[in-house]
Amino acid sequence: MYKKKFGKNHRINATAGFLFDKTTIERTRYSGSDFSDKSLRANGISFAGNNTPLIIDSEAPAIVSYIGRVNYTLMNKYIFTGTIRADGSSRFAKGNRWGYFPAFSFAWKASEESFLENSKIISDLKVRAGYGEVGNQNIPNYQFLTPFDRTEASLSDADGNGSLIPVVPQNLANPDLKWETAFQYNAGIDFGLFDNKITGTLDTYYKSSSDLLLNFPISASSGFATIFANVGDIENKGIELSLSADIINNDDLKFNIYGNISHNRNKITKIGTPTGNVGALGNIVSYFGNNVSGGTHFKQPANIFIEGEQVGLFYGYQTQGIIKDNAQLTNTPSGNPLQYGGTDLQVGDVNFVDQNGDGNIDENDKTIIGNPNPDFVYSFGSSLEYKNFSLSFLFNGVYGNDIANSNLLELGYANNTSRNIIKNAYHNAFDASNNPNGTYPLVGVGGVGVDYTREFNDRVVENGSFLRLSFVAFDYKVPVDNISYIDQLKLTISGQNLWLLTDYSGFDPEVNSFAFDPLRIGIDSGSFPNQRTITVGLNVAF
Amino acid sequence: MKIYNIKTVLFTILLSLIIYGCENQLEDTPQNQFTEVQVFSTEEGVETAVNGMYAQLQGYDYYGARMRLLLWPHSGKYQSKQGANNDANRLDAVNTNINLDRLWLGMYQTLNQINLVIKNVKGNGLKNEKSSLGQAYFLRAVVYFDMVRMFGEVPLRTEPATKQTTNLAKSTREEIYNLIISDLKLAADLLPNRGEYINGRPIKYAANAYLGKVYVTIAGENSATVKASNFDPVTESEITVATITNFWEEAKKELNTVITQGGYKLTTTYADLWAEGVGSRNTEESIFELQYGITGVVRTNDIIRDVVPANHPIVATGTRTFGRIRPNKEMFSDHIIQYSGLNFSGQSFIPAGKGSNIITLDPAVADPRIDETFIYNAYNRSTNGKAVNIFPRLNKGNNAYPHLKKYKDLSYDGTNTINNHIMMRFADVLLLMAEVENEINGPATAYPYVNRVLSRARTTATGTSVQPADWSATNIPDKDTFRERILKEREYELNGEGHEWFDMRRRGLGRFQEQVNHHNAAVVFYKSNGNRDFIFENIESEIYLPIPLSEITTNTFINE
Repeated sequence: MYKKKFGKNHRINATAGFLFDKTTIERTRYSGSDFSDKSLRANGISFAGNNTPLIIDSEAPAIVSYIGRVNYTLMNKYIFTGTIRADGSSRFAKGNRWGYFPAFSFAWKASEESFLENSKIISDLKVRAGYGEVGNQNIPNYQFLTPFDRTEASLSDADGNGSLIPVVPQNLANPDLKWETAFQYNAGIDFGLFDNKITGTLDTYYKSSSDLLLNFPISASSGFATIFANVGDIENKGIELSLSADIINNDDLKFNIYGNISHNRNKITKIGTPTGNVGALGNIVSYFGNNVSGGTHFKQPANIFIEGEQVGLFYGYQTQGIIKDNAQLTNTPSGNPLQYGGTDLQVGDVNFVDQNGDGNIDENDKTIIGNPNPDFVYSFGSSLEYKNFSLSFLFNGVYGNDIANSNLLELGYANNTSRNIIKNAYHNAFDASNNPNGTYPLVGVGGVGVDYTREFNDRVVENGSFLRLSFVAFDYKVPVDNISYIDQLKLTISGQNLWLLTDYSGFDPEVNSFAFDPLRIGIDSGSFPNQRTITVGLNVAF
Repeated sequence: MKIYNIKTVLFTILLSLIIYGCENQLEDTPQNQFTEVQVFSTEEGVETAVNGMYAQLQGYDYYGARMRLLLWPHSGKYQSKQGANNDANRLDAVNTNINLDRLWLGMYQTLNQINLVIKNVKGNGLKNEKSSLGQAYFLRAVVYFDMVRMFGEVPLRTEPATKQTTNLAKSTREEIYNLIISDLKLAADLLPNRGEYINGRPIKYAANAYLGKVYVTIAGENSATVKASNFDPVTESEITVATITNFWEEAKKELNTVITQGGYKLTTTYADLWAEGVGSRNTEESIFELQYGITGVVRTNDIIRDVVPANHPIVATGTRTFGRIRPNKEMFSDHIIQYSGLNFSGQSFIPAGKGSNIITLDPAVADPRIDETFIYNAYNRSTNGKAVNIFPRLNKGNNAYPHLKKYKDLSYDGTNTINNHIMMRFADVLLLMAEVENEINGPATAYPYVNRVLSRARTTATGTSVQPADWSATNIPDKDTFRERILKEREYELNGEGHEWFDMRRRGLGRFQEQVNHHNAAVVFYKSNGNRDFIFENIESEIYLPIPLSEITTNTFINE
């Protein structure tokens, strides 16, 4: 630590630091099945008829960091800050361990300048600009190695005893793993007007992340399904504005409104694999997200990541309603009905778009059918206090994103199974005589003959925009001046999620079923919706 | 001033030591796991890696479950209730099928482990070098033989993958068959003789048996009268790793080696192969068998769960089984019409759906294999004794199928079964030999091989039955009849052992279509289209399975 003042106008403040962070993890695992008596629940694991051995595994990741920071303040108005850090991580092989991350920032307290000091309009003004680099090493340990471990099951000998131990590699080593780095430029203004009655912040940024660390799908013919790797570059740029205004502010009445809006646009700038032919998209550099589910429905990826495009676009079949009659059925270049899986589509089936015009609906007709990235997110609210009453509320919303409502792949077809479907899939199913304008395919779809009901298509991609009244609260402070033993008595009624405006047909547009997985974006797969809660409270202080 | 300096120096030294010590901590390697070098530097370590090859081969993603869940229904001979496999059940497999996806990975995991063993063991001079390499080459051939038949062209990996080599283009069928043949020839050399190594592991004649099957497969594909439109035969001259003048002759040579020198024999009765308990493991008939048993809480072999109907008394009471894979109705009907001794003359299928359609067999007459292979008519639930009607007593609904009876396990605990999976047994070799002999010299010299199998089939613990009667010039008069009947005979003998998908296709599109037509006729006869069963159409594309979408989207050298 170093502090020094030079005369009246110069102040320097410098810090150097060294950081060592080591975690030791030891895990032991034991499992059993085939219990003769289950009444002890988990505590009775030693009564299992069938056990795996105790599996012990330990990890000891470490990070070493050297940090230096210099702060220079000039005339109390100009503030310069410079930081440099060097981080070493045990998660990377020797030679790739260290990352160096400088950052600089500058702030100017403009309101301190003499020409603004007495301004009636501008009461506070601060201008900020900065550049910084950061690193990310958040991956599991030992991915740069291939550890060999036993399989959880043992191997049986000729007599049926599991006496042999098989040892196999656990993952494919990536010795080239290194820090994911990002650099960011940002600039912003903080301002206050009319004696800070109106305050606000405007920020813009440009962030470029390179060598993203991802568990990346690779050809399974390598013997492995994924590898942790530094894959590609992404840029994010955006602008954020927030404003707050005290419209009225006196002893009896306080009225405030506030709001913010932000817009972010991301783009995959580099993937770094060769180009390949993908569906109807032609020759592009891309990779797919993870399969949405491993079960019966949606056992395919929903997202595609294409160089030069936004992340996680939806990829599947484009459709145009239902095939209503024979004229539509044969409205193809060849005059024959389109085929799916070698079988003719019929009147009443979903009308798929044959992108390449070859008469077959197949892999080559898949295209971009949606974008899970919103145009902007916003919120606004207000608070009002009048004497002992106060009322506040907050709206929030998202605009311009799509949601893959994966539930509809199961629920959107009246397919003659015993499972539940949505009402409309049956009541508004196409029927040539009774419901010729039905928007769902005919009853029995997928039962006999052609079955396309498991294909991801734009019928399940929905507009995810919404506006929600996320919070309202009303307080009343009961006057207690006359009651000596009570300090305060407050009555509160508040509600959350009271009102929602959206076109989305699922339970709740504000969902992301696979928030933990950057390779499954914007998918609603039976997510639990936000609850509506109403709380009545009485707060007494003695 | 001086003291201050010493303090500074001491402080600096201390700080350097701390920093040095801390930076050393960045060197972090797994404490409870091995490195590749460690595994392969000792004999014991090598054995664990060899075990690893079997563990992958017989794991859930390959022979343990996925292969059965996908291939049995997709053979056209079995019905499956598994919804996630619906496309394959309709004989219209798509490249997103979950079983296909996992199976593909499971197969290449096995290959990667095998290639690791070959790379590290070759030339290491350890005592188990030969046996380990022999097993590795043998298993690699077994996996690629599966792959080339299932997919046609696939990436041919002969080295363990590294980060640089994750993408690999497909090889031609010639290239794949060349590797299979050269691996099996190496294995025939390196594998131990009987009794020299761990019991239950393949001995050198297993390699000859597989070589025989490989040659029969290539020869049969080439000589098919109707072939798939893009079929590219592998000719004798394209096999560069061996001098081959004729595939049939070469097959005969290998199979003959197995028959005359292998020391295998048929079990006394057919029932011996399927007896409940450990006694039916690794019989004298077994050539290659996957060893399953009490191996922990991870399900590896799911055969019991997959094929035994719920609460059937051939498994322990109360254990959870699904019985989701069942032989198609015509599979049972064919066996009855052929070998029950009951009179169904002039009928293509046995009638079903009424009490009077119950099949009652005369043990002195009927083929004993029928009762060993099938659960039919009805059975009583082990939990409450209530009867469940099935085919042919029942003809409609979810239960209207026969079930397989081969896999019994009264000690089944819902996880582990002590039933092995038989990859190849001596009867298979004898039937292949009969097929080969018929192609080379006609039926006269081929009868004895089939008749060895049939004679054993007639033998029961209490006597002999009339059926299946020996083959002779009276009932199988010519080469063409023999050729068709020998494949049918394989179905009766090997039903439920995983051969159907391959046997349906290895004689070309013509025979595949014939068998599918027969199935379709059964669907019409039993009026079961759309009611659990399907008419199969456009089957030419089903000669091979599609390469999974996940591989196409990740492997830069593969587009379809």
